[in-house]
Order: sequence, then structure tokens, then C-alpha cells
Amino acid sequence: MGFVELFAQAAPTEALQDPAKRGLNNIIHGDFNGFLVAATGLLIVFVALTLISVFIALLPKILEALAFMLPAEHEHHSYAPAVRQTTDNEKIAAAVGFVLHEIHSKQQ
Amino acid sequence: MEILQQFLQSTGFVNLTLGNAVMILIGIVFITLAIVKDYEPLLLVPIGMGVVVGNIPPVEGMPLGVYDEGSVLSYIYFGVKQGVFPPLIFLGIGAMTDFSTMLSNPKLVLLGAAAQFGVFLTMLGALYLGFTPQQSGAIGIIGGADGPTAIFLSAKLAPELLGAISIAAYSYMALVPVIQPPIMRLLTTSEERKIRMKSTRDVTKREKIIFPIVAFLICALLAPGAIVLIGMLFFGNLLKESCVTDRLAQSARTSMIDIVTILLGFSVGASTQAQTFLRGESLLIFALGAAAFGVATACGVLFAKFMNLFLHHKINPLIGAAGVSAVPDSARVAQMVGLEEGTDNHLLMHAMAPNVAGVLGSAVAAGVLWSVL
Repeated sequence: MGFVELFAQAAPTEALQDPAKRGLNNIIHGDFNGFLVAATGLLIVFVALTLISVFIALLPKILEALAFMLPAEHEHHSYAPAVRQTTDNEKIAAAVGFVLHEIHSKQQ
Repeated sequence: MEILQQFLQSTGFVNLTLGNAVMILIGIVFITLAIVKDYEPLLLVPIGMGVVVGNIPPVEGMPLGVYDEGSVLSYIYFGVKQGVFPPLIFLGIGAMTDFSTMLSNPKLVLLGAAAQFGVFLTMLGALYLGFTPQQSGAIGIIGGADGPTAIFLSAKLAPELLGAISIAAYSYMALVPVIQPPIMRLLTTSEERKIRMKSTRDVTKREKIIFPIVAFLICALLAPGAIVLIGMLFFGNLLKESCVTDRLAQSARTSMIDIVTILLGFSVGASTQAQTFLRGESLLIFALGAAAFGVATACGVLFAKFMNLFLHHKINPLIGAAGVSAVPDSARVAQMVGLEEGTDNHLLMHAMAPNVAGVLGSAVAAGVLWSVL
């Protein structure tokens, strides 16, 4: 007995118990093509994050080009506190890690 | 005497089923894991207590459970069922998140996309096992390793599986330090794990303010279904970065997210009544969820190795595992495994980039699945 059949036995619903509604028949049926949905979904996620990545890479250059028309940066108020509620130990470990990393990078 | 007999008949001791007892035990295990092992305590304690409360046998004629119309719990559960709580949690997450590491190293954003392979491959796996397309999409999103996103999507696509999916998502998120390291070690060589990451540049305040607005436009225009989650995430981040709404940002990242987490965790836990939860589908969902996490982690690591084929400054493939979201636990795992290869091999800051990119990736994936399915 295979993995799928073993689990299907435990499943009370008709769909899961019916072998005709499992396997490739269920991935591609009628107008629905699961492979196409998965490929399209992945493509959209990649396009979205690639565009964000390209935008981030270009942002400093765009800001530099527009520097003449942008007001000088100044602090409004105090900056917002840390990313999340961390314990003191975590903060200290992160700070020590960062300093060590900076020193190591400069030495290279 | 008759009244006493009637009362005794209505007590939980008489009506408790084996299923209820098992679920109560599971709830106690969650609470124990949270307290003793410190696994996601902010989530597992409310969920665990919710599981215990939800499995006290109902009394006939008294609306008590989340599924009983008019009960107090049903009103709290409304926020889960209608997908109200997840966007509010995203608002708080946005107000907590610092995108600086991602802004300083944009190529790492792609690792957040690679990890979403887990979502779509698991969706295919669920379809193969006989779930409907809607149920499969909701199960697949467990691989996004993002509890609120998983709850949001299953509330929209497969409300009948909401309890199992949310418990699976949060359980695996809590088990990130257990699930990920073996996969990361298996797919990388010691030499690769020793790669030291280049230090990052400073990011200006202006970049941090512009980023949430433009990134929202990109995501929302490409996948309109992601507007609710992504919109709230970037709105929260804008509150934080704009420096003129500190009070709002402070409320969003502290009191508000805490209150919503309590309500969401508790009501999700209470929705896992044995009669609706202990079914074959739940077993399948847990198996698929584990596969989703494993595949997502593996794809993140492998994609980092693939990127190294083209990069002059190589990246440590361990940070690819952080692309599964689960902020900040998967980034911590990358740091932990990196430190095994040298005490100066600090990856935490670098891993935060794919980590927050993973949040964006899973929210976009959820938006796409909601639109398509």
C-alpha cells in the first residue's frame, strides 16, 4: 500500500477516498491546470521581487540624479525604536557580531 | 437529587471524548514547548490555551464554542474567519520591520522569491493527493512560513481547513530551529558555509521612506490579491520610517499587534475541536506542511548556490534558508549554523534581507493564489 492510499484511507471525505480524484487527474482536469497555476504563480512572485530588487538597486542613483530638486535630509523627530522587541542579550550579541564583522571586512 | 444528576450529566467529565482528551494533551504540549523550550511562546501559549478551552465538551443549549452562534468565542473567531486579524498583524509587522539590510543588498531579495517554490510545489502535492484546487492553494501557503498569511488565505479559500492549516503553519514556524539546520547542512559544503559576507552599505532615510510606497505599487499592481496584506505591511513600515507618525507606529508594533495576536492565537486554538480537527485531512495537511517547509528551505539554499555561479562576491548559501520568512527565527537559524563554521561567521544581519523578502514573497504568492483559485 502506497503513501497516498495509506493517508486516503484515513481521510473521510469522498474526494480523498476516490482514486479517480487523485494523482495527475486531479492536477489537470477540465479547464484547470495545476502545473500552469504553479508556474504562473512562481513567475509573478519572481517578477515582483525582481522588480523590487532592480528598483532598490537603482534608488540611490535616482536620488542622486534628483538631488538638486530634493530638500536636504533632516531629522523630524527621534527615530523609531528597534525592529522588534529583542532581549538585551540578543541586542548585545548582534552589536558585537556587527563590530567583529566590520573589523574583519576591513582587514580583508 | 434529580437536579444533581442533571448537573453531573452536563459536566465535562461525562461528555469528554477520547478526541477531546488528545487535543487537550496537544494544547498542553504546545504550552510546555513554549515555556520550557521557548519555541514561539507569543504564539504557542495563546494557541495552546485555546486548544484546551476549545476541547472542553460543549453543554447542550449553551452557546460556548467558536462554532456556536452567539457565543463570545464566535465573535472573537469572526476576526479569523473573515480574515480581519492577519492584515492587522501585518500592520504591526510592518511597523517593526527594518528593511535596511534588504535595501543595502538588493540581490538577496531574490532568495525570498526562491523559497516560494515550496508553496507551489506543495500545492501540486496537495492536488495530487486529492484536495480541491482551493484547498491545495491554502495548504501550499504553509510553505510561506507565515502564520497570518496562511490564516488569511485559508479563510478565503478553504475555511473548512482553517484550524488544521493554521495549527500546522504555527507549529512548523515554532519548529524552524529543528527542521531547517539538517537540510541546510545537507545541501551545503563546509567551504560554502564558511563564505564571509561582504559588509553592507548605509541606507539613507529617504530610501527607507520611498521604498514602502514604490514596493507596494509594484506588488499590488502585479498581484492585486495581495493588496490587503502587502498594503498593511508597507503602511506600517511607512508609519515607522516617516518619522512623523511615531505614536501610530509605536501603537501598531506594540499594543495593537499584541492584542490581535492574543485574539488570533486563542481563537485559532479554540477552533480545533476534536470533532472538526482530528480527521484524516489534518494528518495530510501536517505531512504536506512539513514537506512545504523542507522544500522551501532547500530551494532557498539551492538558489543561493545558483546565484553564486554568477556573482563575483559570493553569498553564504545558508542565508537562502531565511527566504522562507518565519521572521526572525529562520535568520537566527542561519546565524546559528554559520557560527558552527567559525565564531566570526555572523550571518544574522545578512539573513534578515531574504527573511523580510520572504514575507513579501509569501504575501504576493497568497495574493496570486487567491486571485487565480
